[in-house]
Amino acid sequence: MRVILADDSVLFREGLARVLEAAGFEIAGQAGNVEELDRLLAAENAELVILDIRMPPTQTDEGLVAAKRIRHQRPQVAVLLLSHHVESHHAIDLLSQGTDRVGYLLKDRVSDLHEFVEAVRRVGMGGSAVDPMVVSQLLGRKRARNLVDDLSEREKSVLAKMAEGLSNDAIATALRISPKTLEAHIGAIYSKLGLEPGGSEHRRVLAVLNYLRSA
Amino acid sequence: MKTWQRSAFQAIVLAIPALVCFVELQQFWPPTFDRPPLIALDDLLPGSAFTLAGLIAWSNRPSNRVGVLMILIGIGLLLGTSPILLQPSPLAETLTLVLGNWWSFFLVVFGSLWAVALLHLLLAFPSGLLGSRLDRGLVAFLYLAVPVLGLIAVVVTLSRLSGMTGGDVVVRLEFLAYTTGALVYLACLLLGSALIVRRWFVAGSARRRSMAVVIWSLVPIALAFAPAHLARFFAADASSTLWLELAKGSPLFLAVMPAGYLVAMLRSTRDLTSIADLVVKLSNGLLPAELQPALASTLHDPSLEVVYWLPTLGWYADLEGRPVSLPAQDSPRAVSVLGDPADPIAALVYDSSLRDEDRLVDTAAAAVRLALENARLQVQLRAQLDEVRQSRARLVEAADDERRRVERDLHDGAQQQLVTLLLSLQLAKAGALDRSDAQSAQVLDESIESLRQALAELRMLARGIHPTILVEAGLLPAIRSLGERCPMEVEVTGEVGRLEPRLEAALYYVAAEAITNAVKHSQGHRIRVDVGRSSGWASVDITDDGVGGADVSKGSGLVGLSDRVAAVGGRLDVRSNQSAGTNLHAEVPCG
Amino acid sequence: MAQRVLIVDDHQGFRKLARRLVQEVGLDVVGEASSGAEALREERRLRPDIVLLDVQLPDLDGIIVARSLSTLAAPPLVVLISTRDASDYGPRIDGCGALGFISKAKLTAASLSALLMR
Repeated sequence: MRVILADDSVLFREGLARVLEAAGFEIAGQAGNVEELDRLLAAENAELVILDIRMPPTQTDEGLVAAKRIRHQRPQVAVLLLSHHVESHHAIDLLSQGTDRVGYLLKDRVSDLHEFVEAVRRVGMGGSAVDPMVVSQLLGRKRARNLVDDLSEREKSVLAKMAEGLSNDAIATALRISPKTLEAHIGAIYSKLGLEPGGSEHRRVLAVLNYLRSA
Repeated sequence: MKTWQRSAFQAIVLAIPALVCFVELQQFWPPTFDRPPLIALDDLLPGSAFTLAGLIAWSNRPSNRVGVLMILIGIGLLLGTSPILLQPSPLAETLTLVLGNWWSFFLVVFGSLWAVALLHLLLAFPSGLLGSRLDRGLVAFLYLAVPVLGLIAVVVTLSRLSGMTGGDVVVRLEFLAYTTGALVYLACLLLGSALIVRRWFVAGSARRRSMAVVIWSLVPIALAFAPAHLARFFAADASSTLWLELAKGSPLFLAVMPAGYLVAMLRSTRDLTSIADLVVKLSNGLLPAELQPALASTLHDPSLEVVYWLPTLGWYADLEGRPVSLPAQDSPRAVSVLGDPADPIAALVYDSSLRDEDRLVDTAAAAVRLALENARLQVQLRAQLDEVRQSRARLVEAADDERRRVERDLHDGAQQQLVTLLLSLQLAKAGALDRSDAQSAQVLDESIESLRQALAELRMLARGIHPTILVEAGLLPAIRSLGERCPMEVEVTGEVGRLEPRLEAALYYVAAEAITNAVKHSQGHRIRVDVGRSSGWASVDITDDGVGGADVSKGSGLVGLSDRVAAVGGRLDVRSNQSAGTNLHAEVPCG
Repeated sequence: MAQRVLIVDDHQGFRKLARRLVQEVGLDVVGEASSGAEALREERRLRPDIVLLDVQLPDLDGIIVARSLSTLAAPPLVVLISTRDASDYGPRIDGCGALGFISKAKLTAASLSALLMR
């Protein structure tokens, strides 16, 4: 899978390039700012862009703006946005345009390479990845009539993995439960929260996030 | 000029109209029914009126050229329009004998120059000075052109009368000279009127008041001039007796003008009574805010401003304490500084036409001096308060900037480097595993874990210093984000849009502090945050369902918030009753 | 097989000179880079055994590049070179994971091979 990296730190880009190459990705190019990124996107036939939310010149949210634009202009390119801090606002902002081929992760997720590379692969393959911290914050929110509190611990874990964008297979593997048990948990979650069942695995991400954020 | 010289000059000037009147009226003596002396009035009245009014003006305002101009006009009118010097009389005969044909030339020239002087007066009234370059150019041109045209006309006429050379050419020349003269008069009359009207439109109200008489006198002047010159123009075909009739009576209109000037002058005397009114108002107690209107009405200049000198700050300020700069020397505004020029109390800024009435201005200023000093104290307080407020706003803004800078430095520096280090450690760990160096891999793993925790702490620290989401997405997402991290239930409602960063920061910190306080002290379960924006104010309202009892005077946190909100011109209300929860409401002006 | 060398310096003239020296020592020059970013990228692409690395690069500090290279799973040997003396950089050189330091004035085939033999 051909990947473009965009971050204003050369060292971080290089480190990430090595990690990804080791995991079998091909680095199609690196960019230090949005213009370079656009040039690379036009020249290289890349399938995935990993970019930092902060980029020159203002070092605020250039990366977010660029990510949304790329998703609009090149829907076939997967986009993974990295940030030093995660906000549900940004996650939903990004996912609202479509929940496939998109991810939003804390930069420090590289502390668990296996999980990080899995998330990158998931986004590259057409799925979605939402940082566990966004999900846990939303799950942990106190609510007036807290339906989430009615869930069992196991069901909460399943809900969290669903919100992070994991597929059923991945959830079953991660939680070491059988696909059948998982199906049962998901059914229970939908009925307890009053959510519409169905929708593809990555499409349910936004529904769950929105539910957690607004309920 | 010494007193006796002035008296002598006045006597001579006075003698001229007396002499002319005497000689003229002599013809009508004894009076008969067909020739009442009254018909001489149109010759005598305007000139006499101008001369007398000019004398009065000159003795009252010796430095003002208006008086002299009026005297010149008066004498010019008497000599030029009165037929006395042309009619057979002992005086005329004597003068003709002495001066020969040059006497006619003198009459024509002087008899025309008064009209130029009149235009000069109209343009220069009331200051006596010509304002624009165009004004000066026009007047100078006419003072030159009129004698020249007059000279040509006289020479031509004289040569015709003496039948010197080829009559046809001379007659044509004569006609040409008179026609040109009349056209020049008309053009100048129109141009002069236009200049006066323009001056009226650009004038301040005080100047308009003194100009009113000039404007209204344009009508009689037009009535007086137009027929006379049209008559001269049409007289050539002699059929137009109507014009001649009109021309004969029309100079009477001119008599109106000096009367108008006297009225305008007398008014400043009358204004002394309005000073008396001012003093009465003062004795009843005038508020500082009422001083300026009172002075404006006393001096008949609604544009008058009172500005106060603030010795501690070193500038002039208006009543609100805002800095004001005095108008420049050549501006149409005049300044009168009150008190010791080295240490003034205040200054009056008014329309420059009031300069002619400086005595009036000084008298009014002296009357209100004490009140001005009182008002100045109040202004000084306001200005200092304003200074304090502004410096507080600057401090808060500087502190916010500093927070943003620190957060950015943390992010672009420490956080970025630590994340890169995290990657390096990962790569090293992969290398160690490749070499089957389990011990190193273990150590690296522990380092990675500590580094991850350090990064998490650093992230919390950076967020506390300044939340980037506030800059990236605005107040509402930032407050929602606060709510998501809060151990109490937080319900966020409303919509506010994007605001200036300093306003977003002020409201954000109110919400953050209120939520923190609620979590720490309220013992409640729910917090409601409502943001809103209406009619130029943005607000945030935070209510908890706890035990209440918060007090701005006790909690330093709340005092800080109150200061922070005040620094951007807003206000903070805290309502906290025992066992009824706490409500904070902050609002800031957002234009 | 001869060891493979990557030369990193922003002056083309110096790179030429270094290339000759390296070949004199009997090593293989597999690539050149003129900046820190390029060095990291070429290292990742070419996997050289030795990197001849100038300390003063237009974008990154050569010592930082050396340090990043040293954390790799299979790190290349790094030889730092500079127009200045090692003492100008103090303890930073010792801690960066480089094999050694040669000032450009003393860079010869002999000094290079001596360092690599060590």
